[in-house]
Amino acid sequence: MKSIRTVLLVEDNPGDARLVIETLREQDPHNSVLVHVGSMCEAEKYLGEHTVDIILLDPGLPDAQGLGAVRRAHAAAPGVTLVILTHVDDEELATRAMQEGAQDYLVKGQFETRALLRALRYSVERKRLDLLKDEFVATVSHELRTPLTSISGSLGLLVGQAAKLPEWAARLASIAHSNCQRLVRLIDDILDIEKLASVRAVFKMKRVSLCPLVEGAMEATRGFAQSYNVRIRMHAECEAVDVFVDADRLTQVVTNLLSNAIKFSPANQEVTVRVEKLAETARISVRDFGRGIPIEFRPRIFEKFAQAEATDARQVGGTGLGLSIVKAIVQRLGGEVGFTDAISGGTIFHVDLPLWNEALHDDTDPLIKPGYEAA
Amino acid sequence: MTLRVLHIDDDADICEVVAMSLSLDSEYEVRSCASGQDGLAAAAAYRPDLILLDVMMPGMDGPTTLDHLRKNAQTADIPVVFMTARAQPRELEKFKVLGAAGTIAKPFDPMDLASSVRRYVRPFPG
Repeated sequence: MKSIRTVLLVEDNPGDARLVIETLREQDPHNSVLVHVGSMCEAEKYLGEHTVDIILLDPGLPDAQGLGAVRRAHAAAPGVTLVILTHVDDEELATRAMQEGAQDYLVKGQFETRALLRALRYSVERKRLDLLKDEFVATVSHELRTPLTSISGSLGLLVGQAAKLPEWAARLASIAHSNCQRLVRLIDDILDIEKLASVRAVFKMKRVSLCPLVEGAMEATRGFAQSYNVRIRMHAECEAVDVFVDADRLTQVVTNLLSNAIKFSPANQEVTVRVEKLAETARISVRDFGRGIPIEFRPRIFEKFAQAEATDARQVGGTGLGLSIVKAIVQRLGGEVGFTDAISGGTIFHVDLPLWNEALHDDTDPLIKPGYEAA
Repeated sequence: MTLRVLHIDDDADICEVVAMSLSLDSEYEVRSCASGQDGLAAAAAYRPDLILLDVMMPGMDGPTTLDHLRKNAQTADIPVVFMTARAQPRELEKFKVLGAAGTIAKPFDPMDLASSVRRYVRPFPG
């Protein structure tokens, strides 16, 4: 395990700072260098000129508060381990801080003296493993995509000029091209699900009006629907409702549900979409008129690589990861995803999302809450 | 009007596919370089309307090449678009900060590359 050579303590309360400094000096066998600054500006200046192994951050500084402080520290030293030290014991705040790049969240007065150093060491190790994993995923992605770029590009050019090819050659180019595209999607999905499994996947939560988002996803999927001879339409009028989500990620959810519905629809059928406001949630429903989901498959439908029949992957061209990605995203958005049989045939998938609530979501920075005071 | 594109990528196959993709549009004239170092010299001599720049290259990588392009008065204003197989959101942000006009993810659609690239070419002055 890597030893800690330099610690930067960013804490404006002299009493709290003294406590941490004494604790570390007492317990640290490696005699780490501990630098104390009292503001984010000083921290940024120090980090611009020096290298540290770990930052201990109080997110209630005079010049930076809450998640804003976490983001600034992370931006000033992106590869450096960040541990939050705060008076507030709140799981939601801790989770958000971790999602913003912190490795641990310690509550002042609640950690034993010996536990502090151990927590710091584990945080440094977690950060090192995170960086290794990120690098591995990025390298695998690069190494797979580079040859695929030549293959997919060459086949795409052939398919685009198919009229100049003999019929049999055009057909073979088309088969190779569509399978190459499938491989690209599979790599994208595997990397995405890997990213979503990590608490570090950053979600940019904000107030979003649902109708334009859903209509945008429908528009983006229309060409795909046409290739299956399927129509998409909004069922009834889209009910105006605001939710608190990451817009890009929710678009991905709606697009995945629409793509699935299209792929499992018979030709000349339609996929209908509904947006409605329920008592405490907003609901997006996507209905197909397909063959329905076999009973024995239902418990596994959101599992990775789950497909009702082994031939599905070849026939509909899916990766078997789409619904698993949908579930992972919806959970991170604080919502739920489910499905029911439609009365006159087909399946309805629905996503329920928390409504935008000014009292809860007005401040997009949950580390700053009523009752929380800067130390 | 001819649009001159300089493509810098160490993968010869990708260079060929990019050149063929852009040549579907008769307005494009494409030159390729296999390294950042060669790309710097070619950019100064050729003065392209746009540079397509690979990110991960042995020797001088894409971001370093961009930095050198920006520091040379002859090439400072040429729009640069990264082509990357590592399209991670964090890296896209980084490219923007470095001054890239945009990013095209690999694999790209060869039938659509010419119109994707055209978006980044600055309007002809006057």
